[in-house]
Amino acid sequence: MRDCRQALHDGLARALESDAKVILLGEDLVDPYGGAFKVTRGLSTAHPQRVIQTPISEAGFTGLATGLALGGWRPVVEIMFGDFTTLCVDQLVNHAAKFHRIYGIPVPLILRAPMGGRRGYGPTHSQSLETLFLGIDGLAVVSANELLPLDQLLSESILQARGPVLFVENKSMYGRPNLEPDADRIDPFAIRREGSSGRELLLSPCGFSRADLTIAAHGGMVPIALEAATALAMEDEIFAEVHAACELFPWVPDPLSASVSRTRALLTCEESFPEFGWGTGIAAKLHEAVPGARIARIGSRSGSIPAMRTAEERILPQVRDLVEAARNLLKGDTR
Amino acid sequence: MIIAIEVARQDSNSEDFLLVSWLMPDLSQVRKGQVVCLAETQKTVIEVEAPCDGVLVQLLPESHRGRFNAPVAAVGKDEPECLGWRDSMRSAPAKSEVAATRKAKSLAERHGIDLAEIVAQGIVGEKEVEDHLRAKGLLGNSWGHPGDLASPRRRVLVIGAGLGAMQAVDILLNDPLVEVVGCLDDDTSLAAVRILGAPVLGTVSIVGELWKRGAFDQAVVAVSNDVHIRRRLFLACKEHGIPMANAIDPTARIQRGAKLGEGNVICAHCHVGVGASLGDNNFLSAYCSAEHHTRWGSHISTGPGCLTSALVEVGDLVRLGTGIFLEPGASLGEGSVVASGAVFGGHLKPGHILKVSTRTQAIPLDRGGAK
Repeated sequence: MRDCRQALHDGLARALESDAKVILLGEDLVDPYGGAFKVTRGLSTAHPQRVIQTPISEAGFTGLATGLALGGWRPVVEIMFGDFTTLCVDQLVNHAAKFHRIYGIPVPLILRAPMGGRRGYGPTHSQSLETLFLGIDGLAVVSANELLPLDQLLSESILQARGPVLFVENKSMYGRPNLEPDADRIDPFAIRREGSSGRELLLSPCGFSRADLTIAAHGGMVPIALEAATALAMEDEIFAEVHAACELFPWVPDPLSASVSRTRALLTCEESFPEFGWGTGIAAKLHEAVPGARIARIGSRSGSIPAMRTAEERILPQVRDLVEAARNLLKGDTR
Repeated sequence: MIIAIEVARQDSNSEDFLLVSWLMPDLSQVRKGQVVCLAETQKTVIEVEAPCDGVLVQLLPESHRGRFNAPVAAVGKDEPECLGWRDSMRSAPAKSEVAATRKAKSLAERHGIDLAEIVAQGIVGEKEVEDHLRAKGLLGNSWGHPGDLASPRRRVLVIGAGLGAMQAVDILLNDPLVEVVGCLDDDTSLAAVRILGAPVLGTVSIVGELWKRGAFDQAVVAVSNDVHIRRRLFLACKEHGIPMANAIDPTARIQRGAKLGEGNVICAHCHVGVGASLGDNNFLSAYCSAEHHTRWGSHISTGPGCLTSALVEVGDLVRLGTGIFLEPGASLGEGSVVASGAVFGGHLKPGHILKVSTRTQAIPLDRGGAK
């Protein structure tokens, strides 16, 4: 089984091979270094003209990429750490996201950014800042997770983009195995692939025979949510359906709405600070769609993310936090 | 116990590491924190430490490459244990255990069923085991499981044999569908005592054994005065997957939409209002009211006559004295204590006590002395 790093690498390679207009930009991308997380390793050797190493100037090369996209290229920008997306907000929000709306010209720009902590990288290299970009009309936000066919997800995002896309990767995902495409199980979970593109996953630890609760997660929180759902089933016979969300914005209602209609209880979990973010947004959506559903949100605790691992663990949401939140949500329930 | 030693991934640039050298020989005594080997990645050399005191057993030889987060060695208590571990690691991976819930395992064990016989999609739950037992005709005649309609009488074990237990047994005796099998108490002087006819069967330590033998269907914690002991006893039962009974006096009124967890003792003339919710393992003494839409946590204990108004929230492990009024919207934080006679409408922080200063004085009626 390929790891997620290799699958993303293969997705980039596939995009470069199938369209001569695909071009990679970013810091330290070329061999032998091959990018800070080694996703682009080998690509500059295979395509020396189309893997371009840039100076340390995120605003500059995101602007350059926007221009390339307007000019008919399909640029793929790598932001070394997702925290540095703050440097290209103006280019993304005020330019790339606007041009294709104002002028009707495609702006097929992909911005890849590794978010997330659990690596001991400290306060400004561990955040999950995708929430900053949710709700910007014209800017799509996609969050990859290890259960999706990442090779296909990334190459299709590049080759089919019409407007700018923030493609969020998670650092903890790179070394983990990428589930085989079309797998319908990851034990003990059965998987349903839903949404128009099959990117929205719903998982059940009991073959969808019953469900007491829906847990929504994306990116690096997906394996943590699965671990929590396993513990809840084993310890308490609380059977949770886990929604692994991919298209964060624009929001895709199903399968989440359908699942919460069944369970009437939703726990959102994200690695970001949970206030006014992704979980809050879908909590509001689900509150409108399923009146009376019980909803709880969890995310990181208040405070900057420390470099010391044990201190970092106290800030970022852990399996036990999800289990406890789920138990509290269902407390007093007569089931 | 044997504890595996793994090399944690320290940088994103390396997929594996080279085990450069063992600093401690195989099967030697090591101390916790002692560096036992050196592992080299693309960027760094990692000093790998022993996780505890004991005997070191090596698995990965020097100059071999290893994967992160997989055992390279272990520390055990003695040589045989270490060699056994190494053999098991080197032989083919063990047959994967059937994923089953705690309740499912407990039920299967009580009926001597191999979980591997059960076909389930995903995790095997209690329901699947019951279905399996029913299909085999093993469930339905004898004293069955509480979920089994063929045996309507529930056999309830009372945890505790003090004054609270007497109240709980009294409540349970009113229910024709309940049989009180006995009580357990750590006070061995109660060994020969009967609580309203229910025998004291032994100390709480035997609860798991009784459960495995199928001696009862549900349990309830009857200790009323110490919420921490209530919680400990409740968790000890849940550790074995034991379902907990609600003991509700027939004079108590539980209104529509009220929700109760399990293991609650609700004494005479209590009231649980519309839409109120109680967690698990609470002890409500007589004449208490959980008024409509109040939310009560778990492991709470009250004295008699505690009245809540609407929308009150009572946290876990709260202790209430006697004769307390809680005004609409009041909240009591986890582990807080409210003294008898309080009238309170605010928010009491977790771990705080609400004291009441009412002055009372006893004065002899015949103060004049003349008779």
